[in-house]
Amino acid sequence: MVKYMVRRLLVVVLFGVSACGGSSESSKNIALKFNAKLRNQEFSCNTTYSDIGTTNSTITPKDLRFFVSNINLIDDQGNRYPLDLNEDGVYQYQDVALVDLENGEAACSGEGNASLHSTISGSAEDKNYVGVAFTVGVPFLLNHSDTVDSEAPLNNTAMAWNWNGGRKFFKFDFSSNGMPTGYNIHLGSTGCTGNEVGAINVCSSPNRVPVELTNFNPDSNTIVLDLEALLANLNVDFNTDKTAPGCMSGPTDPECRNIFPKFGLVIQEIPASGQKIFFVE
Amino acid sequence: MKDVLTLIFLVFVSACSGGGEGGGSQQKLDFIPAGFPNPEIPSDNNLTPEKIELGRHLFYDVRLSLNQTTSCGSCHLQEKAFTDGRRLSIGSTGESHPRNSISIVNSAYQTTLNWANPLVTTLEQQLLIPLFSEHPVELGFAGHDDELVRRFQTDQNYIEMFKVSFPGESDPINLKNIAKAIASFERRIVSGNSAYDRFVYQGDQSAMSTSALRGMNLFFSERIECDHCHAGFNFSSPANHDGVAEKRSQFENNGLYNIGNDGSYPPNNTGLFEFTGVISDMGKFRPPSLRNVELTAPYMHDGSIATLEEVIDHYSRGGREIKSGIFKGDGKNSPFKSSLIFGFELSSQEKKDLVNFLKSLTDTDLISDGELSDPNVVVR
Repeated sequence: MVKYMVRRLLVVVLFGVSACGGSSESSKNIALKFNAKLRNQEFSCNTTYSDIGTTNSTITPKDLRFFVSNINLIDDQGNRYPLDLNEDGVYQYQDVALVDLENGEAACSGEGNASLHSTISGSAEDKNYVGVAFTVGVPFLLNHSDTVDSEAPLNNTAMAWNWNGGRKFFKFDFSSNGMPTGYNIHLGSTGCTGNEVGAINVCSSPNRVPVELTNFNPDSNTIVLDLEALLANLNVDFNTDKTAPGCMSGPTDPECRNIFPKFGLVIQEIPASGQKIFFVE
Repeated sequence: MKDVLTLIFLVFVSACSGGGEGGGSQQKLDFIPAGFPNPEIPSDNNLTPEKIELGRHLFYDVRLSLNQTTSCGSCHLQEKAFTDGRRLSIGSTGESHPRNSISIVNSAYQTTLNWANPLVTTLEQQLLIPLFSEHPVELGFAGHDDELVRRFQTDQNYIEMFKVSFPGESDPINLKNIAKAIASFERRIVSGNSAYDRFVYQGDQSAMSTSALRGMNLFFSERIECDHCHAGFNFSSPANHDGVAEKRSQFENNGLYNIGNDGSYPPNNTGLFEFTGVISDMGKFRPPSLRNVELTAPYMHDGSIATLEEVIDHYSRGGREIKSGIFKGDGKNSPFKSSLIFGFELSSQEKKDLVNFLKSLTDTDLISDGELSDPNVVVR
């Protein structure tokens, strides 16, 4: 917290200096709105969803959170302008924000909390924006930092992935008829190796998801995560024996063969393609 | 003003180096046995008796699980050399772990700590895995670390223990210090007073039986090669200690599985391969320390061998054959097996000798040491 306040002071001081220098560009506040949809409804922990996947299963949400970083707005000339995030000590730090769509109620009480974070706030140059680009994931250096020594949201233990030396970038957990204890979709970097003292310096499968959306006006549009598309053609009642329940980014996990291509990520011999789950509304 | 700043700086520097057991030329720590080097102590977590005692209380406290049923000590029992005697461990919510509880004895000397995870190299990092893991759930605190901290912030005994363990900190009860204290207690769990130690390091010529001595010669022989993987004073993978020049990790495939004859292991226990994705890392696990191995049955990463005699049979054959079922295959022919596991023949007396040697690594002081026991259990 002290570190955070010192950073804020520095930001204030630097901002003051740059304001005195008479910067020619003016900036404007931007509120980037996110939500998730399933069965044509807005996602909620308080709803169960029927007719899901190849087995027409019923699912109950347990968690839905993901990290977004490196956000750029795109103007009508195709130029990109970084969104400078407002650090809030909870959900936004440097250029990383945690989008939190679970309310800690019903089955989300397991690992969830009451507060939500569906709007990322920041500022960018005052332009006529028509598109947005961002990465689902945490930048390399921040991703492999120590969980207990990090600033929020990077110290969030529900998104920690200590076993793999990083964070879960994306987490959608639910229970289904066939998987009553949970089917979990976790995205994060795998194949990470370090130097001799264990500090990670490279990951063979970074699994960060680049997203670029057009026809997007930050004042009027919302970025929608299409859970319907994520679960399409998936048997949510089945998991291959002795593999992670669902897809936890395991490079040989059969369930990831269905899920990874929807993020546009490479898995096994299936080549990369564009992401298919985020759209503008 | 400048002088004041200099003074503050000097005070700060001297505070940092004070009490430091971390330096290379320090005196031997009082609990380190003869023949053992000091372990490496992280520069940001100096080892103090106060921290060790706090860590001991935390280690055995069931408030360390969300549902208050389970502590570190539930899967790491002192009487079993800090293992749990189960084939596979069970988490606080009843979920089975894919692996056998590994001993934490002498873990201060390990370069890597889990059965096969190359990324976890400090005890402070390691304990976050049982605290926050979700697959399987062990202690169940994912998303609830505030609750964990709160439990100790309202307990007068702990308030006092944290205060003396982290002097000068205004808000010492936090996750980072919980990790530092438990890691400090784990560093204190050192075993080095077995019959073997008394014979080798303490000059007691009568400490080991003649059978155990014959077994020792076998253990270290080129004929059966045990000591290539279970090496050094800790009978394990390369040790990390104060002043060590190079930290090295070691993971080996010992021919336990060869599913479908392509070297595969059960998908929930692929060893180093899980982390690297490199096929030749399939089934590679860390050679665990053989100290107190008499007390740590069942054996192997998945607890799939029940007795020491059967472990010797496994290495004697040069790999395990599974004749039927989904894991069918002959580990002897695994393409990824260590070249040092080639099989050998022992007479029945030699096998007994080898078992007796392994039993000479049992340290009864470890399991009776009151400083390592559950502080909440009153000893009569």
